[in-house]
Amino acid sequence: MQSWQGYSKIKDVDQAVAEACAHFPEQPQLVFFFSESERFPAFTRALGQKFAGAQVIGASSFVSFSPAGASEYGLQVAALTGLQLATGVLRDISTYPLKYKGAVTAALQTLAPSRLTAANTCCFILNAAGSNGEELVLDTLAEALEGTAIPVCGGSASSPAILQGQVSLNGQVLEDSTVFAFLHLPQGRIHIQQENIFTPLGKEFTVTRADVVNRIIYELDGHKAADVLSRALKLAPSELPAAAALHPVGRVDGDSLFVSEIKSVNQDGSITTYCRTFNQTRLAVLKLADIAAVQARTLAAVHQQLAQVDFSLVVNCYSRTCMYQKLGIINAFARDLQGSLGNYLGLTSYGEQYHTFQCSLTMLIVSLGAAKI
Amino acid sequence: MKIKPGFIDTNKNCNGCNKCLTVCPIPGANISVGTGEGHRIEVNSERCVTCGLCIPGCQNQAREAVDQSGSFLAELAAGKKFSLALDPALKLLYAEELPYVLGYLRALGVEKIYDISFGGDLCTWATLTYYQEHPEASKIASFCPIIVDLIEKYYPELLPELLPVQSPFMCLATYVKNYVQDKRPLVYIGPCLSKREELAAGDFNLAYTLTLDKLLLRLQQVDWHAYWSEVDLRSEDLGYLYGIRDGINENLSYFMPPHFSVLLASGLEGRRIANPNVYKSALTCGKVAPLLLNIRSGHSGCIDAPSIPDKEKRWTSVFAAVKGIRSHILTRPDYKENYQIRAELLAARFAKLNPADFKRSFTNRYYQEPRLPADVLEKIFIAMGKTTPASRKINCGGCGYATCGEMARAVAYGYNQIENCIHYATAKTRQITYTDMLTGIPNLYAFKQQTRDLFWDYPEQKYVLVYLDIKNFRMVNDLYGFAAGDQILKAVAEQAAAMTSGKGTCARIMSDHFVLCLPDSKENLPKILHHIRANTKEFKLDFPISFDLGLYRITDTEEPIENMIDMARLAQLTIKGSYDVRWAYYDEAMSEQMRREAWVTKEMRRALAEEQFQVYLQPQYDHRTHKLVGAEALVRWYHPQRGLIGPDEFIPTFEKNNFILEMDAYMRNKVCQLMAAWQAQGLPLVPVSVNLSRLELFEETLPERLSTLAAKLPPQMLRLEVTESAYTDNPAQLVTMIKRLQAKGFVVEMDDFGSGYSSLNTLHEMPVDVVKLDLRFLMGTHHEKSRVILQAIAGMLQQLQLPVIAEGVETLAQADFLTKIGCHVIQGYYYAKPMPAEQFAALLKAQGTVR
Repeated sequence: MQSWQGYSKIKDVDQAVAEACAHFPEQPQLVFFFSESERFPAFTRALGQKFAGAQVIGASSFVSFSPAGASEYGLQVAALTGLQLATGVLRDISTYPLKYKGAVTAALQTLAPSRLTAANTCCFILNAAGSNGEELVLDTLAEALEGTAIPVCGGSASSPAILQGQVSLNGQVLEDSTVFAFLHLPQGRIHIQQENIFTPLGKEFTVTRADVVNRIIYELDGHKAADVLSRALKLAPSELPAAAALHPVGRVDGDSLFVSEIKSVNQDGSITTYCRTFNQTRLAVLKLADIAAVQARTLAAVHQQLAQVDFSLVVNCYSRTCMYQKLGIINAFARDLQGSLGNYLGLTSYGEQYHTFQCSLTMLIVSLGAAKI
Repeated sequence: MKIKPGFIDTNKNCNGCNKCLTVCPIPGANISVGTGEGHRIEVNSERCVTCGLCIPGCQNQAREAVDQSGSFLAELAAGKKFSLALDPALKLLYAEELPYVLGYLRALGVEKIYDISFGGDLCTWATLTYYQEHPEASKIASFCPIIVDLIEKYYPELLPELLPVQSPFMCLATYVKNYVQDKRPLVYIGPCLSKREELAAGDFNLAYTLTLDKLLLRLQQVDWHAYWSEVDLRSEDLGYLYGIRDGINENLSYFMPPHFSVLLASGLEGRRIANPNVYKSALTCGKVAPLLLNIRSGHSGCIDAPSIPDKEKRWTSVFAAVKGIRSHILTRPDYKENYQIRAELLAARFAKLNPADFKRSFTNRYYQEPRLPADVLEKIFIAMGKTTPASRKINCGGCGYATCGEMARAVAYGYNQIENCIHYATAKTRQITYTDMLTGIPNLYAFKQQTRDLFWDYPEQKYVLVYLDIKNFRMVNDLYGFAAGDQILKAVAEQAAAMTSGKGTCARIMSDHFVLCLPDSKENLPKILHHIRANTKEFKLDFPISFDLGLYRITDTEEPIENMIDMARLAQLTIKGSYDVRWAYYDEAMSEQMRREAWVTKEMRRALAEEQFQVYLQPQYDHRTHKLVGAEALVRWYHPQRGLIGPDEFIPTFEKNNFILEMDAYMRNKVCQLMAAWQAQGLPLVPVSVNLSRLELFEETLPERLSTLAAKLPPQMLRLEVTESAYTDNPAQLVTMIKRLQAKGFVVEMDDFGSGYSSLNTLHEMPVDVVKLDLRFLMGTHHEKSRVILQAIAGMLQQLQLPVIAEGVETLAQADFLTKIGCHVIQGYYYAKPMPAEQFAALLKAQGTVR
């Protein structure tokens, strides 16, 4: 597999596209691009036209990452060849993406389904933000991919405006939609690495009352959720909202932990999160870990799985990006990724999706390369 | 769960019986709130389709339509103007009362009264127009707001199949608004609870929706028979029949071509709504077209609405009304013509209306249901105590859901709670009753039952009952905390359960005490010991953990289990010392010992109060001169019924229960009294030794108390015996105490020298004045060896200048030998047994004359 990478901060869209894609082949198979939201539609059209024969997938991003660094403005684009892929769209993701399940199965059929494994294939998704439909999308994909081992991962497009972000496929900006792409390396390896910069505090609770659809947790272990959390953190209840940002909750699934950021602490003692929580699931209270140490482990883990990394897609949570900006480490973060991964393209996302879980405060790295013998 | 109030409400009568869940066709439309006595079911209006099935379904009258009649009447009274829209069913159900009520309402200020039957005619016309434009159409009737609500919310795939024509009520509202130009707010009166939803879609000014029965309740005190009014607008055809079952067919069949079909399908009648594909299939089955599929929301149409009380009593009125309408309309000349003429007449009637005004669009309000991961469902089943496939298919319906799976799903989504599952509650009660909550193994109550069952099932098998006690468990808790202690208890419980699995029973009966009942076999004891030994290493605590096992062989399974446990416990109590696993089998002697101890304990206080304890004195003689040189005070117990009781029978019990302190104090008092009396009698006193118990030796005030006690006696007449073994308790403290006693002038004797394991070290450290050698410890089976040892000890003591008294001397040869080696003060049966005080006094008088 081969990859090319480019970026441009030129204001004029066509010139920016020309600059960013200067070294790209004429006919790549797949083009990914991220840009700020204002010019996103224009970039969508321009890239769709330029690479009419390719699958062109884009998303708006509050901050994009690439070997060129972290940027709030500009076009970041990558082109890939040497892989098999199939793309499609799920629409009405805020209410009924299952209606479009057929698009997934149809796309899957264009690859050789019997040769697709968890090691050489993944389904990468980009959702238009603000739909609250990410979990419905994951449900749809879970149903469509039942019986396969194909992992799903991705993120939701972002912009500086809260919970707004656009996605596009092949020159069309899509509303209330998810673009999905099956990436398959017949001879290679695709590895998905999940990074949590939060670690359990050692306290776990059972969700005993939750509103699944509206993502509200009313009770933990039979008591008001806010009371339980504030006691676990040894805080007065009034202090919980301020502390919530650094103490998200994590849904425990076997050995895995899927972080869920707290959106609000409500008057009735419930908490609203950014992710769905079913009743009787276990929740862990989390605290911030050593970011640098965690990142080092993450990148090392990628290299443990791949003999060679050819290209990576990075999905980094909006809240993490803001945190890194505040800490002044955002550019170091981008550089570290480049130093370890080489060619990569990164998106700031409103929520990350991995397997069947919508997560927050998470980073996902999808790396394509050569398997270890 | 955020519960938005809707048009159906739960009142205070709700007791959480779940009947509403049983009849409700929509999962999540009823939310269980609270548990136990506070449990109630609230309506979730976001999911509810306001079908009203829960109203008659509730056995407690806890469900009712929100009554807006009060607000309506109040506004009317305040002068606000309204127009009424009457459901066609009213004329059928309330034919007699209706005109009077309408008259009263008009008198209150209602301006216009429209009957929705007119809208029925409009609806018929609009439907006819649609099918004329689409002659091959097969559609689902959209006249029932419940069905439309159902399809919009839950079956979006059926949306394109809905007939895009307004319902009779919507047609009327459109007509009134657009053609009559009546801008007054509309008030709907009728049995349908779903009208509000229906008009919400359009720009209709619907102020209130009332049911007539609730309105009549409010007007109870009014004599509305004094009033009378007709409606201002009504059907001129069969619009009234929209309210009855098959009314749509009856209406349309008079205007549609013969090959037009209305198919009736069940909708919400059963517990479950039919699969939407059934409806889709029905639309295309037999390739019949044009077709209208009428999905019923009630068995007999609107007149069968759940909100109508005692509707069966009104069937006669309905039948009469329907018959009247049919007679009135169907005998008209135009109804004797063919359908085309009738259609033309209908079209002519509404020629000035724009059919487009009566078209309808629908809104996709479907929200994809979250997919429930299999592991979430599994966790919920386990939390409900449903750990086996069979338990997950009980499907008792007690929770209101048809299956356990539905209940588990409801819990997952937050519509219900685990506690509302009857089987969960039963299992929880059973668990609390039968299970030790910490370890999960049976408790004593369950153990007794299960062991009885075991004996019953295997009457030929011999069993042994094991009482297991964890040694020094309290220290584990003290050193490592209760959490660590709990871990050990759980681990032991696990081992106990494993050992007895399939062949015995076990339980944790309290704290660190367990009981097991196992087949009595040669293999079992080693198995138990091996099992327990092997697993203590797993605790990873830097503290030795071991077990005492008391075993009782069960010979009579009819014996109460409690007795068996007591026997095994008794055996366990006999085990002393050692950090290794120790065991003991129960024998009858243990019971006898227990009975003796129990008797002694019962009698001891009375004995003390009644002075049953007597001072006996055993003389000490200087074997060289045969002169009486001292005595040891000993206690004897003269029980009024049992007679003389030897110290071996009660001293060990007194030491166990600390009564020895009281008894020793009593004895010292008595000895001092005796010596004072002898002194007063002019008898020559000799030193008398009294025992100090180990417990007393560490009492801070001891020297002062003894000093006070012996104040009237010549110095050093009262001697104090301290047993050598007391040194091991707290050497430093003991030495200090001895010195304090000596400072008070007491002579301290080391009693039973040679009985301990480190006698020489004790001798080195304890600053005693006299040493008493007890020949029982020093005279072993090898006499020559014993002589050598005694000689060495005597020599050593002489060199240390410690006076010696030899105790337990029984023969002349022993006495001579001891004197020869320097131990010339003899106490023992050779000279005299312990004797009563009077006898000793006589000895004193005779100056200890040799027998």
